[in-house]
Amino acid sequence: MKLKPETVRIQHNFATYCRSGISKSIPGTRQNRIHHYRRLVFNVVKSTMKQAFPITHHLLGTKEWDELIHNFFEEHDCQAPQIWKLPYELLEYAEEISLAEKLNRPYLNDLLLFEWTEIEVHTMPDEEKPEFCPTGQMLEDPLVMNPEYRLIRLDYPVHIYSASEVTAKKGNYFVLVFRDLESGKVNFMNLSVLHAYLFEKAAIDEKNLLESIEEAAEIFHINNWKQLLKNSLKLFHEFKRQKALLGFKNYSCS
Amino acid sequence: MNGTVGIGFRRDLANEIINGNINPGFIEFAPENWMEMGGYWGKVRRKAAEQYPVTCHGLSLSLGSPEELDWNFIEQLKKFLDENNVRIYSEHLSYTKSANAHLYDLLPIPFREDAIQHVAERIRKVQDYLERPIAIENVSYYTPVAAEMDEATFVKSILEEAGCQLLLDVNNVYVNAFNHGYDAKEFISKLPLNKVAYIHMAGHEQVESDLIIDTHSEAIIDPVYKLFEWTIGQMKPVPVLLERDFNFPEIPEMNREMDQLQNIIYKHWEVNHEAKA
Repeated sequence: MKLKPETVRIQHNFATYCRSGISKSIPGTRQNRIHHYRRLVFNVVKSTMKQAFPITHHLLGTKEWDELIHNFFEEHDCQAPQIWKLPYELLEYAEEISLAEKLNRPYLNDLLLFEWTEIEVHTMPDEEKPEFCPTGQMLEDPLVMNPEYRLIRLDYPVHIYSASEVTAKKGNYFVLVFRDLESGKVNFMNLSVLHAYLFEKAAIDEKNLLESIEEAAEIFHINNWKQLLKNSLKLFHEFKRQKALLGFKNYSCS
Repeated sequence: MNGTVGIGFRRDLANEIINGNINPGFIEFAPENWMEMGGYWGKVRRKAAEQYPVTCHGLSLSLGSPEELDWNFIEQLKKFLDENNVRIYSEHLSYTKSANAHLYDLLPIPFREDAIQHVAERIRKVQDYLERPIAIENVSYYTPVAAEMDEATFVKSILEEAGCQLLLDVNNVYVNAFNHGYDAKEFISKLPLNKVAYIHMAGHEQVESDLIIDTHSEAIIDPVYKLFEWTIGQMKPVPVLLERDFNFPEIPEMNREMDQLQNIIYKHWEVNHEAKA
């Protein structure tokens, strides 16, 4: 590197001041001006985070929120060159510092994950659109699911209830977050463990729905086959209606 | 694109540009805000790139940083530039990363000899990898940092050492001349204007009696138009870009600003009045 150690130190000190507000010796600066850099730098990060996490921001209120973002920016080395990816780093940071416990809001990590997942699914790179037939046999034909999705597991149902209600409802929740391939709109579906299992089987495995239901009956010890079949079909018709299920691998339509 | 007026492609303006309510000669992407992005915004970006010639203005390359260059990022960048048939790629003469952390704003590089050598070497490496020249932009700065020379000498030396082009931001020259008490025309006269690849124009905000911040949130003021007119009288035709990032006005107002720039161009450069690209 062609930079002298002194120049490196000056640049680091300037950047450190912008992140922390802690002023170290930076020669040849105008002291009444450098605070503008800290203000401008911090405003960019603060506004990005507020836009990414509107519910968390609202819940925490200005004081707790500002403190969180200040601490994050000072303590965490931001790695994403693209600032729209930075909110994911706040989510990781919150987990690292056990923010939910510190603020006595046990649902907080789930809320941050839920808000981030909406951004992630909205912006993630396009997957190759698979070939499919729009019509087919729901039970017998292999299914073609929408490839642009995330399936997240939550301890608290932050996607259903308000903050004042969720703490008492700790459990095992799944949310399917997927992107409409045409409009790019992000949709959400609340799923039970069984339904999440069936979705993933359809999305990842080549098996048809009937085979997946048979497996699920065994794994989840479900004896009422008729009810299981009826509910599963209802679920997959809803997937189809909402375009989480695109269609069928039924080569007769090509 | 030479002699045409383009516009920074921001999400708030995207539909108006695609629908032709704003009809620039070219558009400029900040690649970091669009690369690796699919879905709705991916479609918007592709549609815009099909309709208009594209330039790119980077944010995170951090040419002045003491850090190692981020080659993963540069690889993605190259892919983006190629995919969008980008005509000119520019970056800021500043640093945005230090001590392994991005700061997402443009910090001033100390105007020093070792910094010239360091930045020029990095520009050369990136140019080699991208297989295209970089145009570096003179940035606004609000305080000098450990300077051993003036800004014009620093910028000019980097252009010579790196063999790169210049993105001349006329508003930044005005802002810096105001903030640091120098003569804007004298500054521009010291630069190698034959290396200018294109020009940026923007508005700013005066926050103290002796301080202007380069916000891109206001209309261009008359003294900056005058400095622009004087500047283009000194040089050959290049593309000219209007930057607006915040506080977007009504569309007719945006068009009025672009028209004003175009009319000044017509006075000084012999360009085809019908040509957009």
